[in-house]
Amino acid sequence: MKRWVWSLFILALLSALPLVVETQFYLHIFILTFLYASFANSWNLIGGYAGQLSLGHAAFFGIGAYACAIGSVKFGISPFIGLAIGVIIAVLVSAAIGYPCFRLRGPFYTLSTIAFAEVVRLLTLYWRDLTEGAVGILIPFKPGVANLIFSGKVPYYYIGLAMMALSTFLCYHVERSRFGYYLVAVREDEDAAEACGIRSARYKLYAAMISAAIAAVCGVFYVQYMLFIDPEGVFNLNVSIQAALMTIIGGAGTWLGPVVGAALLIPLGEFLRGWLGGAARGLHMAFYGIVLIVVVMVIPQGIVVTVKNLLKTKATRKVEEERR
Amino acid sequence: MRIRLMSCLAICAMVVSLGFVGADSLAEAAETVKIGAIYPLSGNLARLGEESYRGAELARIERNAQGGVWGKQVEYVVADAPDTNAARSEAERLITRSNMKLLLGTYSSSLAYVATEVAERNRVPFFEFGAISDPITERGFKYTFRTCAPASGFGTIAVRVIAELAAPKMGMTPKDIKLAIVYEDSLYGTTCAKYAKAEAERVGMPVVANEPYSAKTNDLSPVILKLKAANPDAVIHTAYIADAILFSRQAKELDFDVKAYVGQGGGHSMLDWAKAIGDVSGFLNVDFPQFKINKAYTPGLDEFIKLYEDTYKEPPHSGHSLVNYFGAKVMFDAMEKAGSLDADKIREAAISLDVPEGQTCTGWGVKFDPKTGQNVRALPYGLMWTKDQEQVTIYPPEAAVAEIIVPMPTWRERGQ
Amino acid sequence: MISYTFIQVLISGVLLGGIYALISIGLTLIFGVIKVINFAHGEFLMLAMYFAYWMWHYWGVDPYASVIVLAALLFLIGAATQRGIIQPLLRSPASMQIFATVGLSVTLQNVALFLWKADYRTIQTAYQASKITIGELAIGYPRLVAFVGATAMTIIIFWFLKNTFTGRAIRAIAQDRMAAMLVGVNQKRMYMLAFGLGSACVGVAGGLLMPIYYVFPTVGTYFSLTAFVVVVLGGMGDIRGAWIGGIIIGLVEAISGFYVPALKEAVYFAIFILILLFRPSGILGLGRGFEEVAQE
Repeated sequence: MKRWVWSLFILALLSALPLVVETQFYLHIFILTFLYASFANSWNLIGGYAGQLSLGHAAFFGIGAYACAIGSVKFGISPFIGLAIGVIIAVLVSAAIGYPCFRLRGPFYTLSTIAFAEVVRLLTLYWRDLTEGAVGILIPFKPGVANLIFSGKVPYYYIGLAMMALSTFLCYHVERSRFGYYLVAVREDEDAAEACGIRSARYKLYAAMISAAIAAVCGVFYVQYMLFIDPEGVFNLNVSIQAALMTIIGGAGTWLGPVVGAALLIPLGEFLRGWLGGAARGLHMAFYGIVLIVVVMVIPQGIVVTVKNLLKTKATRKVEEERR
Repeated sequence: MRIRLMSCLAICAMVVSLGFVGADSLAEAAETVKIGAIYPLSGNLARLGEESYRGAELARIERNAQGGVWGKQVEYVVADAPDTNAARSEAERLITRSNMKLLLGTYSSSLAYVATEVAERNRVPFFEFGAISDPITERGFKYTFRTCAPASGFGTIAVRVIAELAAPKMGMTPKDIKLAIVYEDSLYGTTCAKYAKAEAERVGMPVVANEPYSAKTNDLSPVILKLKAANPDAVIHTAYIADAILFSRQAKELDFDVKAYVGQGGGHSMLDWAKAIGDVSGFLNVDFPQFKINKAYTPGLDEFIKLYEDTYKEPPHSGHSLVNYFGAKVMFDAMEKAGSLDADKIREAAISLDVPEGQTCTGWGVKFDPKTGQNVRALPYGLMWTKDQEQVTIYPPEAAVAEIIVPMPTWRERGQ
Repeated sequence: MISYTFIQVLISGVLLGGIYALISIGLTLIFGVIKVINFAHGEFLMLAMYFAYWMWHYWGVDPYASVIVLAALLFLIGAATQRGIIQPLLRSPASMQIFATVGLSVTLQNVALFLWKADYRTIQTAYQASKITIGELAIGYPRLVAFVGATAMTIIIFWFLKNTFTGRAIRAIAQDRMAAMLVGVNQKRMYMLAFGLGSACVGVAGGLLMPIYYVFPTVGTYFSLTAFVVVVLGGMGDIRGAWIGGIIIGLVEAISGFYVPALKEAVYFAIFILILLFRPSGILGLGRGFEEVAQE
């Protein structure tokens, strides 16, 4: 139960933060962190628990964002309905693409996700009448709850916080559910899981659909916050890599991993750019790359699991050793 | 227990990193005027972003040597924005944490979209010196001012160069000239091509081909073969550097010749392109003012080049530095006139500026449209490459230093 | 007129296919032996092109002449990557290996950006724009060289794997890691050799492409996605398949580029997904399907 108390405490702390933090820039960084933590949570469901290394997750993020932007700018639809449409499209697409692709394993699956995201990006460029192609869509700044656009940062902060809390809660719940155990079983050994009667394709599909839905919600939040969207910004391979990067560094397949990963990498990235920036062009991205290699080689389970192991008392370690 | 530590870790990470930045925001001496500058200084846009920044920086150095603004020295707080996400973050940071009351930038249109939006929302005036996409000033923003020529000007001038300069020399009227428009399909190419097409339709020039392609392509021969089949008299091509090189090399391979070939800045303005092709004499181009221009039309240009060479120990890479230098000078004039950094005063002062064409270092005049904030007296120039891989100005006539050569030499005539 | 244009499109397609084959052979070799997809393959190409550029720039070395040096340099880089990054991860899940090479790719791109800036660098040679003309048809000389180079490389590598002792050892370890090790094949050395060879191929490609293209830090991304498509189409690990796959993708790109230019990439990515789904062992069916990969 203590876990609940602490989670609520932290949530309360974060909720109180805008009352003390006045600098909008800091709120902006928190908002970005919340957004990417939620996006990484979505990736974690399919990439972490189910072990399907997708590098095309940007597609669902972009589909959500574009559905909402096109709806409000071209058809005057409320962003709330746009959100619903975006989520539905993302879920349908993920089911349609996931169903055949989940037969693929390892690198084949990864390649297929990259190709899929590329196709979505190219189609966005192609359907110029609808998407404005490479020009991108500018959302007119009309603040109001009905438009889901706010002039201050605080509403975005709370929406982002809620998004992160809910998606983390969902992951937490999945991790402890039968569904979650199925996914982990499939990840560890698909054939063995099948032999135990787990319909691996079906559960992977469910995970992919939930994951796509969350990613689409993140996309909608992104576009309502940035008020500008273009294919380069949302469908870039780097967007997909970032989601996976944060999850893996934090700890793939743990409910806290993506949040920890985002909380470390987003502020770090923002400040590294501020400090190094023009003086050392490209160096902060090179730094990301090196961190990724080092993490994969040294602590492949991610920070959360590693720290957990470090924190285990001698007694627990002893018990575990005996168990072996 | 573990979870608590876990969560603490996450929070600590955030708080500690925030603590770090808090330290450098100490108040500076009150005797300087601070302006936020946003440019892409890392990443793929860095090359011309840096060049643009240099221009703005030179204007600042010059201004400070002359006593600054309101007798105070001017200082830039520089932010690096390699992509739109970063542009948003940096604009937020400059305005809300560093308390900037005035911003400038950005060279790239998508960065400008985002950065000006943040500025407008915070009622902070933003002077855009180099981004050309038209919608930047078409959103009804009160505090966004653009000193340079917009993309619509590029398309328009490209067609005018063909219609007004090339056509008479070829003994044709604009209505006889078959025009092909080729462009890379991102924001830049799409916009320029759109306006070129509109202007061609306006003057009655038939467009026989309209071909977009991806700038990331490895092969442009299908596009060239299609153009060859359409057999145009003139081509307007909007390209970045890689596709410009690829296009020209493959056009040479496939012997695709036209009477007039007009680039629209971008790749066709770069020495890298000229070097890759070799003999580029007779290639036309439309871009910001370059340095071979009628000096009587651009007073102050020589001083700029000298200042640039003294400061950076090399000649300017492109006209980007010049237009940013021009823009920053205009901005300082507006500040001086406004008397303070109050947003509405700056706006009032900027709108009241009135300089006719031919009196500044770029030849551009200054007159901001009060509705859009666009400088209506800035249009790009028609240029032509010479054998020595230099660009000379050919349009408008008042600024020209050379005559157009049409039809341009064919690939065979250029030889190897 | 139409037929002339169409034949020219076909020629361009085949020549482009040669370029794709050139880049893909190394990738498929590495995959076939070590079962790792090297996401930094495009960046290796970028390095090779930069090396070719600098050798030309400082010492005036013709890029075709520098091919041997490039192959040697890239062999070392590849072997070092295998030893330093891939070998320790061999027992980790495939996703970790993928991420390590993605990390390498990001690092190399940005280090190149830091060291050499975002300038587009090209070299000028006398033969660059020369071409062979047959009637109205034109075949660019550098592209022809690249095509011949790709074909020669395919034959040499294929011969090497078939007929030399080392080549057989590599094939043995590719077929069954455990069994090969049991009969005394040195796994570490063979893997380093295979990774090095695959990278050396891309070194050769760098030299042969420099007269046609230009080099800048992210040039690899222009080619790497296509190389993945080619490799899957040809069958992972199938050298001849990579050559055929390259030509097919080149033709598809040229033809779709002529008829539906805006969708040309989408067309071949769609082909890619279809191949993955319905024939993951490639057109010749000789590549490694996912069943085999999953067993590793």
